[in-house]
Amino acid sequence: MAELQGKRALVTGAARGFGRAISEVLLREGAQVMLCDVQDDQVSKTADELGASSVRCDVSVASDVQAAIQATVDAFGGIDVVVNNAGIVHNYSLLDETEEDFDRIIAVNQKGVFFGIKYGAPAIIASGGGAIVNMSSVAGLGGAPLFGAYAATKHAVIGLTRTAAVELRDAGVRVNAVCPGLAETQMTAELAPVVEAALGASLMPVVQAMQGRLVKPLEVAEAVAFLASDRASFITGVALPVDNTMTARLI
Amino acid sequence: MAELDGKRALVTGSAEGIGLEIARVFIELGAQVMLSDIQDDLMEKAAAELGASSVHCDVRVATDVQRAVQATVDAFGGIDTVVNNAGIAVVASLVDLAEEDLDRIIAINLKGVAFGIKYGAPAIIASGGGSIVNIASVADLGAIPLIGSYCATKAAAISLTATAACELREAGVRVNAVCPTFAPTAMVAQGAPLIEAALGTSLEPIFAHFQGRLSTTREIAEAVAFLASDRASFINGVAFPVDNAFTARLI
Repeated sequence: MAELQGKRALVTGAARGFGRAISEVLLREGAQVMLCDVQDDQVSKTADELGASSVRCDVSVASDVQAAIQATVDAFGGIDVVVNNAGIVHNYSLLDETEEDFDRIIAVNQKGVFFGIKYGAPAIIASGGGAIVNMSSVAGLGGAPLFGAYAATKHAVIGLTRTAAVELRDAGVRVNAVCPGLAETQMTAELAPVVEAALGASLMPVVQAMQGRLVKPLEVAEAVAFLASDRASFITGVALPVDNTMTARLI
Repeated sequence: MAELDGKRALVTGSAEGIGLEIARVFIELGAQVMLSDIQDDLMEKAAAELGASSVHCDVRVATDVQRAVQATVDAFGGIDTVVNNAGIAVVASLVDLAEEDLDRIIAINLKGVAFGIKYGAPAIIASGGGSIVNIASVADLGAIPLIGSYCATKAAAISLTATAACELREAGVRVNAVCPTFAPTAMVAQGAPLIEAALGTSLEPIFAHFQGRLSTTREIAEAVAFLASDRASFINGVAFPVDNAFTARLI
Protein backbone atom coordinates (compact mmCIF):
# COMPACT_ATOMS: atom_id res chain seq x y z
CA MET A 1 0.00 0.00 0.00
CA ALA A 2 1.87 3.04 -1.22
CA GLU A 3 -0.77 5.39 -2.53
CA LEU A 4 1.57 8.41 -2.71
CA GLN A 5 4.55 6.82 -4.43
CA GLY A 6 6.42 9.47 -6.39
CA LYS A 7 4.54 12.41 -4.86
CA ARG A 8 6.44 15.40 -3.57
CA ALA A 9 4.72 17.24 -0.74
CA LEU A 10 5.01 20.33 1.43
CA VAL A 11 3.28 20.24 4.83
CA THR A 12 2.94 23.49 6.78
CA GLY A 13 2.80 23.54 10.58
CA ALA A 14 4.55 20.18 10.56
CA ALA A 15 6.58 20.43 13.77
CA ARG A 16 3.92 18.76 15.88
CA GLY A 17 0.30 17.67 16.06
CA PHE A 18 -1.63 17.14 12.85
CA GLY A 19 1.23 18.38 10.65
CA ARG A 20 3.65 15.86 12.10
CA ALA A 21 1.14 13.01 11.76
CA ILE A 22 0.34 14.02 8.18
CA SER A 23 4.04 14.06 7.32
CA GLU A 24 4.41 10.62 8.87
CA VAL A 25 1.55 9.11 6.85
CA LEU A 26 2.60 10.79 3.59
CA LEU A 27 6.10 9.36 4.07
CA ARG A 28 4.66 5.91 4.87
CA GLU A 29 2.67 6.07 1.64
CA GLY A 30 5.79 6.71 -0.40
CA ALA A 31 5.86 10.51 -0.73
CA GLN A 32 8.87 12.77 -0.32
CA VAL A 33 7.94 15.37 2.27
CA MET A 34 9.20 18.84 3.13
CA LEU A 35 8.14 19.80 6.64
CA CYS A 36 7.81 23.48 7.43
CA ASP A 37 6.94 25.39 10.56
CA VAL A 38 7.56 28.70 12.24
CA GLN A 39 9.16 26.77 15.13
CA ASP A 40 12.34 25.98 13.24
CA ASP A 41 14.19 24.09 15.99
CA GLN A 42 11.20 21.86 16.57
CA VAL A 43 10.52 21.25 12.88
CA SER A 44 14.10 20.26 12.11
CA LYS A 45 14.00 17.87 15.07
CA THR A 46 10.71 16.37 13.82
CA ALA A 47 12.12 16.11 10.29
CA ASP A 48 15.22 14.33 11.61
CA GLU A 49 13.04 11.87 13.51
CA LEU A 50 10.98 11.13 10.41
CA GLY A 51 13.92 11.15 8.01
CA ALA A 52 12.53 14.09 6.03
CA SER A 53 13.62 17.61 5.04
CA SER A 54 12.50 20.84 6.65
CA VAL A 55 12.39 24.57 6.10
CA ARG A 56 11.36 27.44 8.34
CA CYS A 57 8.11 29.07 7.23
CA ASP A 58 5.78 31.59 8.82
CA VAL A 59 2.66 31.07 6.71
CA SER A 60 1.44 34.59 7.44
CA VAL A 61 4.39 35.92 5.41
CA ALA A 62 3.97 35.58 1.65
CA SER A 63 7.70 35.41 0.92
CA ASP A 64 8.13 32.63 3.50
CA VAL A 65 5.47 30.52 1.77
CA GLN A 66 7.03 31.20 -1.63
CA ALA A 67 10.42 30.18 -0.25
CA ALA A 68 9.04 26.97 1.29
CA ILE A 69 7.46 25.96 -2.02
CA GLN A 70 10.66 26.76 -3.87
CA ALA A 71 12.64 24.74 -1.32
CA THR A 72 10.33 21.76 -1.97
CA VAL A 73 10.73 22.09 -5.74
CA ASP A 74 14.50 22.44 -5.39
CA ALA A 75 14.78 19.45 -3.07
CA PHE A 76 12.55 17.06 -5.00
CA GLY A 77 12.52 18.40 -8.57
CA GLY A 78 8.86 19.46 -8.40
CA ILE A 79 5.84 19.58 -6.11
CA ASP A 80 2.60 17.62 -6.33
CA VAL A 81 0.95 18.21 -2.96
CA VAL A 82 0.62 21.13 -0.56
CA VAL A 83 -0.98 20.53 2.83
CA ASN A 84 -1.96 23.86 4.36
CA ASN A 85 -2.10 22.70 7.94
CA ALA A 86 -0.51 25.50 10.00
CA GLY A 87 -2.99 27.11 12.33
CA ILE A 88 -3.45 28.76 15.70
CA VAL A 89 -6.31 29.06 18.14
CA HIS A 90 -7.31 31.31 20.98
CA ASN A 91 -10.45 31.28 23.04
CA TYR A 92 -12.22 34.52 23.78
CA SER A 93 -15.84 35.43 23.44
CA LEU A 94 -16.41 37.69 20.46
CA LEU A 95 -17.05 40.54 22.89
CA ASP A 96 -13.66 40.03 24.53
CA GLU A 97 -11.74 39.33 21.33
CA THR A 98 -9.19 42.07 20.61
CA GLU A 99 -8.66 43.41 17.12
CA GLU A 100 -5.00 42.45 17.36
CA ASP A 101 -5.81 38.82 18.17
CA PHE A 102 -8.43 38.74 15.42
CA ASP A 103 -5.94 40.04 12.86
CA ARG A 104 -3.35 37.54 14.03
CA ILE A 105 -5.57 34.45 13.65
CA ILE A 106 -6.76 35.60 10.24
CA ALA A 107 -3.15 36.10 9.18
CA VAL A 108 -2.16 32.55 10.10
CA ASN A 109 -5.28 30.45 9.53
CA GLN A 110 -6.80 32.24 6.56
CA LYS A 111 -4.05 34.17 4.79
CA GLY A 112 -1.72 31.23 5.39
CA VAL A 113 -4.04 28.95 3.43
CA PHE A 114 -4.55 31.64 0.80
CA PHE A 115 -0.77 31.95 0.31
CA GLY A 116 -0.43 28.18 0.14
CA ILE A 117 -2.95 28.15 -2.71
CA LYS A 118 -1.68 31.30 -4.41
CA TYR A 119 1.94 30.17 -4.51
CA GLY A 120 1.45 26.40 -4.29
CA ALA A 121 -0.95 25.93 -7.20
CA PRO A 122 1.29 27.42 -9.94
CA ALA A 123 4.19 25.24 -8.78
CA ILE A 124 1.93 22.17 -8.77
CA ILE A 125 0.66 23.03 -12.25
CA ALA A 126 4.26 23.44 -13.46
CA SER A 127 4.91 19.94 -12.05
CA GLY A 128 2.03 18.42 -14.01
CA GLY A 129 -0.91 18.78 -11.61
CA GLY A 130 -1.69 17.52 -8.14
CA ALA A 131 -3.62 18.30 -4.99
CA ILE A 132 -3.92 20.79 -2.16
CA VAL A 133 -5.41 19.78 1.18
CA ASN A 134 -6.40 22.51 3.62
CA MET A 135 -6.90 22.01 7.33
CA SER A 136 -10.30 23.31 8.32
CA SER A 137 -12.16 22.04 11.38
CA VAL A 138 -15.59 21.13 12.64
CA ALA A 139 -15.43 24.81 13.60
CA GLY A 140 -15.51 25.45 9.85
CA LEU A 141 -18.98 23.89 9.75
CA GLY A 142 -20.58 25.30 12.87
CA GLY A 143 -20.16 27.63 15.82
CA ALA A 144 -18.82 27.03 19.31
CA PRO A 145 -18.64 29.42 22.26
CA LEU A 146 -15.19 30.98 22.70
CA PHE A 147 -14.14 29.78 19.24
CA GLY A 148 -15.62 32.67 17.26
CA ALA A 149 -12.46 33.97 15.60
CA TYR A 150 -11.16 30.46 15.02
CA ALA A 151 -14.49 29.34 13.55
CA ALA A 152 -14.55 32.36 11.24
CA THR A 153 -11.13 31.49 9.85
CA LYS A 154 -12.01 27.81 9.48
CA HIS A 155 -15.24 28.68 7.64
CA ALA A 156 -13.10 30.90 5.42
CA VAL A 157 -10.78 27.97 4.70
CA ILE A 158 -13.77 26.07 3.29
CA GLY A 159 -14.73 29.11 1.22
CA LEU A 160 -11.20 29.30 -0.18
CA THR A 161 -11.19 25.54 -0.79
CA ARG A 162 -14.40 25.59 -2.80
CA THR A 163 -13.40 28.53 -4.97
CA ALA A 164 -9.88 27.24 -5.52
CA ALA A 165 -11.31 23.85 -6.51
CA VAL A 166 -13.52 25.50 -9.10
CA GLU A 167 -10.82 27.84 -10.40
CA LEU A 168 -8.08 25.22 -10.58
CA ARG A 169 -10.09 22.17 -11.71
CA ASP A 170 -9.26 22.45 -15.38
CA ALA A 171 -5.61 23.13 -14.60
CA GLY A 172 -5.41 19.76 -12.84
CA VAL A 173 -5.18 20.87 -9.23
CA ARG A 174 -7.68 19.39 -6.79
CA VAL A 175 -8.36 21.33 -3.59
CA ASN A 176 -10.09 19.80 -0.58
CA ALA A 177 -10.48 20.52 3.11
CA VAL A 178 -10.45 18.22 6.13
CA CYS A 179 -12.57 19.12 9.16
CA PRO A 180 -11.37 17.34 12.30
CA GLY A 181 -13.12 17.38 15.63
CA LEU A 182 -11.28 18.04 18.90
CA ALA A 183 -8.03 16.13 18.80
CA GLU A 184 -5.36 14.55 20.95
CA THR A 185 -2.97 17.42 20.29
CA GLN A 186 -1.06 19.97 22.26
CA MET A 187 -3.45 22.60 20.86
CA THR A 188 -6.38 20.88 22.58
CA ALA A 189 -4.39 20.33 25.77
CA GLU A 190 -3.61 24.05 25.88
CA LEU A 191 -7.07 25.32 25.05
CA ALA A 192 -9.14 22.92 27.17
CA PRO A 193 -8.39 24.53 30.58
CA VAL A 194 -9.01 28.01 29.16
CA VAL A 195 -12.37 27.01 27.71
CA GLU A 196 -13.34 25.05 30.82
CA ALA A 197 -12.50 27.99 33.08
CA ALA A 198 -14.54 30.38 30.95
CA LEU A 199 -17.52 28.04 30.63
CA GLY A 200 -17.29 26.73 34.20
CA ALA A 201 -17.76 23.19 32.88
CA SER A 202 -15.61 20.28 31.81
CA LEU A 203 -15.13 19.76 28.06
CA MET A 204 -14.85 15.98 28.14
CA PRO A 205 -18.54 15.13 28.66
CA VAL A 206 -19.35 17.30 25.65
CA VAL A 207 -16.59 15.69 23.60
CA GLN A 208 -17.82 12.26 24.69
CA ALA A 209 -21.40 13.02 23.68
CA MET A 210 -20.62 14.69 20.38
CA GLN A 211 -17.64 12.75 19.05
CA GLY A 212 -17.19 9.77 21.38
CA ARG A 213 -13.54 10.52 22.08
CA LEU A 214 -10.77 12.83 20.89
CA VAL A 215 -9.61 12.21 17.32
CA LYS A 216 -6.05 10.92 16.95
CA PRO A 217 -3.80 12.99 14.67
CA LEU A 218 -3.08 9.86 12.61
CA GLU A 219 -6.81 9.48 11.88
CA VAL A 220 -6.82 12.98 10.43
CA ALA A 221 -3.63 12.24 8.51
CA GLU A 222 -5.16 9.17 6.82
CA ALA A 223 -7.93 11.34 5.36
CA VAL A 224 -5.38 13.90 4.16
CA ALA A 225 -3.31 11.17 2.49
CA PHE A 226 -6.35 9.73 0.70
CA LEU A 227 -7.41 13.16 -0.59
CA ALA A 228 -3.84 13.90 -1.72
CA SER A 229 -3.64 10.63 -3.65
CA ASP A 230 -4.71 9.88 -7.22
CA ARG A 231 -7.38 7.60 -5.77
CA ALA A 232 -9.30 10.82 -5.06
CA SER A 233 -8.98 12.02 -8.66
CA PHE A 234 -12.64 13.10 -8.90
CA ILE A 235 -12.85 14.54 -5.38
CA THR A 236 -12.37 18.28 -5.28
CA GLY A 237 -14.03 21.17 -3.49
CA VAL A 238 -15.04 18.94 -0.60
CA ALA A 239 -14.98 19.66 3.14
CA LEU A 240 -14.59 16.23 4.77
CA PRO A 241 -15.49 15.97 8.46
CA VAL A 242 -13.30 13.64 10.54
CA ASP A 243 -15.47 13.96 13.60
CA ASN A 244 -17.21 10.70 14.53
CA THR A 245 -20.70 12.20 13.98
CA MET A 246 -20.24 15.59 15.66
CA THR A 247 -21.53 17.59 12.68
CA ALA A 248 -24.09 14.94 11.66
CA ARG A 249 -25.63 15.09 15.12
CA LEU A 250 -28.21 17.57 16.36
CA ILE A 251 -28.40 16.26 19.93
CA MET B 1 -1.10 -5.03 3.88
CA ALA B 2 -3.95 -4.08 1.59
CA GLU B 3 -6.48 -1.57 2.85
CA LEU B 4 -9.37 -4.03 3.18
CA ASP B 5 -7.48 -7.21 4.09
CA GLY B 6 -9.70 -9.50 6.13
CA LYS B 7 -12.89 -7.50 5.53
CA ARG B 8 -16.07 -9.33 4.57
CA ALA B 9 -18.48 -7.23 2.55
CA LEU B 10 -21.95 -7.31 1.04
CA VAL B 11 -22.56 -4.96 -1.91
CA THR B 12 -26.14 -4.51 -3.12
CA GLY B 13 -26.92 -3.70 -6.74
CA SER B 14 -23.57 -5.09 -7.80
CA ALA B 15 -24.41 -6.85 -11.07
CA GLU B 16 -23.26 -3.80 -13.03
CA GLY B 17 -22.24 -0.15 -12.85
CA ILE B 18 -21.03 1.44 -9.62
CA GLY B 19 -21.85 -1.62 -7.47
CA LEU B 20 -19.84 -3.96 -9.67
CA GLU B 21 -16.86 -1.61 -9.59
CA ILE B 22 -17.08 -1.32 -5.79
CA ALA B 23 -16.95 -5.13 -5.61
CA ARG B 24 -13.97 -5.20 -7.97
CA VAL B 25 -11.99 -2.59 -5.99
CA PHE B 26 -12.86 -4.22 -2.65
CA ILE B 27 -11.52 -7.55 -3.91
CA GLU B 28 -8.36 -5.86 -5.24
CA LEU B 29 -7.87 -4.34 -1.78
CA GLY B 30 -8.15 -7.68 -0.03
CA ALA B 31 -11.84 -7.99 0.91
CA GLN B 32 -14.11 -10.97 0.44
CA VAL B 33 -17.23 -9.78 -1.36
CA MET B 34 -20.77 -11.06 -1.70
CA LEU B 35 -22.48 -9.57 -4.74
CA SER B 36 -26.24 -9.12 -4.61
CA ASP B 37 -28.72 -7.92 -7.19
CA ILE B 38 -32.08 -8.73 -8.75
CA GLN B 39 -30.46 -9.29 -12.15
CA ASP B 40 -29.35 -12.85 -11.46
CA ASP B 41 -27.80 -13.71 -14.83
CA LEU B 42 -25.77 -10.51 -15.02
CA MET B 43 -24.74 -10.89 -11.38
CA GLU B 44 -23.64 -14.51 -11.71
CA LYS B 45 -21.53 -13.59 -14.73
CA ALA B 46 -19.93 -10.76 -12.74
CA ALA B 47 -19.34 -13.02 -9.74
CA ALA B 48 -17.66 -15.63 -11.93
CA GLU B 49 -15.45 -12.96 -13.51
CA LEU B 50 -14.42 -11.53 -10.12
CA GLY B 51 -14.20 -14.84 -8.31
CA ALA B 52 -16.79 -13.54 -5.84
CA SER B 53 -19.92 -15.06 -4.35
CA SER B 54 -23.41 -13.85 -5.15
CA VAL B 55 -26.94 -13.94 -3.78
CA HIS B 56 -30.24 -12.80 -5.23
CA CYS B 57 -31.57 -9.77 -3.37
CA ASP B 58 -34.41 -7.39 -4.04
CA VAL B 59 -33.63 -4.62 -1.52
CA ARG B 60 -37.33 -3.69 -1.32
CA VAL B 61 -38.01 -7.00 0.37
CA ALA B 62 -36.95 -7.22 4.00
CA THR B 63 -36.51 -10.98 3.93
CA ASP B 64 -34.30 -10.71 0.82
CA VAL B 65 -31.98 -8.27 2.60
CA GLN B 66 -31.93 -10.44 5.74
CA ARG B 67 -31.07 -13.44 3.59
CA ALA B 68 -28.29 -11.59 1.74
CA VAL B 69 -26.72 -10.51 5.04
CA GLN B 70 -27.00 -14.07 6.35
CA ALA B 71 -25.52 -15.49 3.13
CA THR B 72 -22.53 -13.20 3.60
CA VAL B 73 -22.08 -14.29 7.21
CA ASP B 74 -22.41 -17.95 6.20
CA ALA B 75 -19.95 -17.63 3.33
CA PHE B 76 -17.26 -15.67 5.13
CA GLY B 77 -17.84 -16.37 8.83
CA GLY B 78 -18.97 -12.83 9.56
CA ILE B 79 -19.63 -9.44 7.96
CA ASP B 80 -17.72 -6.20 8.42
CA THR B 81 -19.12 -3.99 5.69
CA VAL B 82 -22.43 -3.43 3.94
CA VAL B 83 -22.52 -1.19 0.89
CA ASN B 84 -26.09 -0.11 0.20
CA ASN B 85 -25.68 0.69 -3.46
CA ALA B 86 -28.81 -0.63 -5.21
CA GLY B 87 -30.85 2.20 -6.63
CA ILE B 88 -33.00 3.39 -9.51
CA ALA B 89 -33.83 6.70 -11.10
CA VAL B 90 -37.17 7.93 -12.42
CA VAL B 91 -37.26 10.79 -14.90
CA ALA B 92 -40.45 12.82 -14.51
CA SER B 93 -41.35 16.29 -13.34
CA LEU B 94 -43.01 16.32 -9.93
CA VAL B 95 -46.28 17.25 -11.64
CA ASP B 96 -46.06 14.28 -14.01
CA LEU B 97 -44.65 11.80 -11.50
CA ALA B 98 -46.93 8.76 -11.14
CA GLU B 99 -47.71 7.57 -7.62
CA GLU B 100 -46.58 4.05 -8.46
CA ASP B 101 -43.21 5.34 -9.69
CA LEU B 102 -42.82 7.34 -6.48
CA ASP B 103 -43.65 4.29 -4.36
CA ARG B 104 -41.21 2.18 -6.34
CA ILE B 105 -38.26 4.59 -6.06
CA ILE B 106 -38.92 5.04 -2.34
CA ALA B 107 -39.06 1.27 -1.88
CA ILE B 108 -35.68 0.74 -3.55
CA ASN B 109 -33.65 3.86 -2.79
CA LEU B 110 -34.96 4.59 0.70
CA LYS B 111 -36.38 1.40 2.20
CA GLY B 112 -33.53 -0.57 0.61
CA VAL B 113 -31.00 1.52 2.52
CA ALA B 114 -33.07 1.33 5.71
CA PHE B 115 -33.19 -2.48 5.44
CA GLY B 116 -29.45 -2.62 4.79
CA ILE B 117 -28.91 -0.71 8.03
CA LYS B 118 -31.62 -2.52 10.02
CA TYR B 119 -30.39 -6.00 9.16
CA GLY B 120 -26.76 -5.23 8.34
CA ALA B 121 -25.80 -3.40 11.54
CA PRO B 122 -26.66 -6.19 14.03
CA ALA B 123 -24.67 -8.68 11.95
CA ILE B 124 -21.72 -6.27 11.77
CA ILE B 125 -21.89 -5.74 15.54
CA ALA B 126 -21.96 -9.51 16.06
CA SER B 127 -18.81 -9.68 13.91
CA GLY B 128 -16.98 -7.14 16.08
CA GLY B 129 -17.85 -3.83 14.44
CA GLY B 130 -17.33 -2.33 11.01
CA SER B 131 -18.82 0.06 8.57
CA ILE B 132 -21.79 0.76 6.32
CA VAL B 133 -21.48 2.88 3.20
CA ASN B 134 -24.61 4.16 1.50
CA ILE B 135 -24.49 5.33 -2.09
CA ALA B 136 -26.33 8.62 -2.22
CA SER B 137 -25.78 11.22 -4.93
CA VAL B 138 -24.99 14.86 -5.52
CA ALA B 139 -28.74 14.91 -6.11
CA ASP B 140 -29.19 14.90 -2.34
CA LEU B 141 -27.22 18.10 -2.02
CA GLY B 142 -29.31 20.20 -4.37
CA ALA B 143 -32.11 20.11 -6.86
CA ILE B 144 -32.06 18.71 -10.38
CA PRO B 145 -35.15 19.26 -12.54
CA LEU B 146 -37.00 16.09 -13.64
CA ILE B 147 -35.45 13.80 -11.05
CA GLY B 148 -37.16 15.21 -7.99
CA SER B 149 -38.17 11.79 -6.70
CA TYR B 150 -34.57 10.59 -7.03
CA CYS B 151 -33.27 13.71 -5.24
CA ALA B 152 -35.77 13.17 -2.43
CA THR B 153 -34.79 9.54 -1.87
CA LYS B 154 -31.08 10.37 -1.96
CA ALA B 155 -31.59 13.20 0.53
CA ALA B 156 -33.41 10.69 2.71
CA ALA B 157 -30.48 8.28 2.38
CA ILE B 158 -28.20 11.02 3.74
CA SER B 159 -30.56 11.55 6.63
CA LEU B 160 -30.63 7.82 7.41
CA THR B 161 -26.84 7.85 7.23
CA ALA B 162 -26.56 10.64 9.80
CA THR B 163 -29.02 9.10 12.24
CA ALA B 164 -27.59 5.60 11.87
CA ALA B 165 -24.10 6.98 12.47
CA CYS B 166 -25.27 8.56 15.73
CA GLU B 167 -27.26 5.53 16.88
CA LEU B 168 -24.58 2.96 16.04
CA ARG B 169 -21.43 4.86 16.99
CA GLU B 170 -21.01 3.35 20.43
CA ALA B 171 -21.68 -0.12 19.04
CA GLY B 172 -18.71 0.27 16.69
CA VAL B 173 -20.49 0.67 13.36
CA ARG B 174 -19.57 3.68 11.24
CA VAL B 175 -22.12 4.82 8.65
CA ASN B 176 -21.21 7.14 5.80
CA ALA B 177 -22.56 8.11 2.40
CA VAL B 178 -20.78 8.70 -0.88
CA CYS B 179 -22.34 11.23 -3.23
CA PRO B 180 -21.33 10.57 -6.83
CA THR B 181 -22.40 12.62 -9.78
CA PHE B 182 -23.12 11.58 -13.35
CA ALA B 183 -21.02 8.52 -14.18
CA PRO B 184 -20.77 6.25 -17.22
CA THR B 185 -23.44 3.82 -16.02
CA ALA B 186 -26.52 2.26 -17.53
CA MET B 187 -28.62 4.48 -15.25
CA VAL B 188 -27.17 7.66 -16.75
CA ALA B 189 -27.21 6.25 -20.29
CA GLN B 190 -30.92 5.52 -19.92
CA GLY B 191 -31.90 8.65 -18.01
CA ALA B 192 -29.88 11.34 -19.77
CA PRO B 193 -31.75 11.19 -23.12
CA LEU B 194 -35.08 11.47 -21.30
CA ILE B 195 -33.89 14.54 -19.41
CA GLU B 196 -32.46 16.03 -22.60
CA ALA B 197 -35.73 15.47 -24.46
CA ALA B 198 -37.75 17.08 -21.68
CA LEU B 199 -35.39 20.04 -21.27
CA GLY B 200 -34.86 20.40 -25.02
CA THR B 201 -31.13 20.77 -24.46
CA SER B 202 -28.05 18.58 -24.36
CA LEU B 203 -26.60 17.66 -20.97
CA GLU B 204 -23.05 17.54 -22.31
CA PRO B 205 -22.25 21.26 -21.86
CA ILE B 206 -23.76 21.11 -18.36
CA PHE B 207 -21.60 18.11 -17.44
CA ALA B 208 -18.53 19.81 -18.92
CA HIS B 209 -19.13 22.97 -16.96
CA PHE B 210 -20.15 21.57 -13.58
CA GLN B 211 -18.11 18.42 -13.31
CA GLY B 212 -15.54 18.69 -16.09
CA ARG B 213 -16.25 15.18 -17.31
CA LEU B 214 -18.15 12.09 -16.22
CA SER B 215 -16.53 10.37 -13.26
CA THR B 216 -15.33 6.82 -13.72
CA THR B 217 -17.01 4.19 -11.59
CA ARG B 218 -13.53 3.43 -10.24
CA GLU B 219 -13.27 6.94 -8.77
CA ILE B 220 -16.47 6.35 -6.83
CA ALA B 221 -15.39 2.89 -5.68
CA GLU B 222 -12.08 4.19 -4.30
CA ALA B 223 -13.95 6.59 -1.99
CA VAL B 224 -16.23 3.78 -0.83
CA ALA B 225 -13.20 1.57 -0.12
CA PHE B 226 -11.50 4.30 1.89
CA LEU B 227 -14.62 4.90 4.00
CA ALA B 228 -15.04 1.15 4.55
CA SER B 229 -11.46 0.79 5.72
CA ASP B 230 -10.07 1.23 9.22
CA ARG B 231 -8.14 4.24 7.91
CA ALA B 232 -11.47 6.09 8.17
CA SER B 233 -11.95 5.11 11.81
CA PHE B 234 -13.07 8.61 12.89
CA ILE B 235 -15.10 9.41 9.75
CA ASN B 236 -18.72 8.78 10.59
CA GLY B 237 -22.01 10.33 9.54
CA VAL B 238 -20.47 12.04 6.55
CA ALA B 239 -21.88 12.68 3.06
CA PHE B 240 -18.79 12.59 0.86
CA PRO B 241 -19.15 14.13 -2.62
CA VAL B 242 -17.16 12.56 -5.47
CA ASP B 243 -18.07 15.22 -7.98
CA ASN B 244 -15.10 17.22 -9.29
CA ALA B 245 -16.33 20.45 -7.66
CA PHE B 246 -19.97 20.09 -8.84
CA THR B 247 -21.49 20.88 -5.45
CA ALA B 248 -18.78 23.37 -4.45
CA ARG B 249 -19.66 25.49 -7.49
CA LEU B 250 -22.44 28.07 -7.60
CA ILE B 251 -21.89 29.33 -11.16
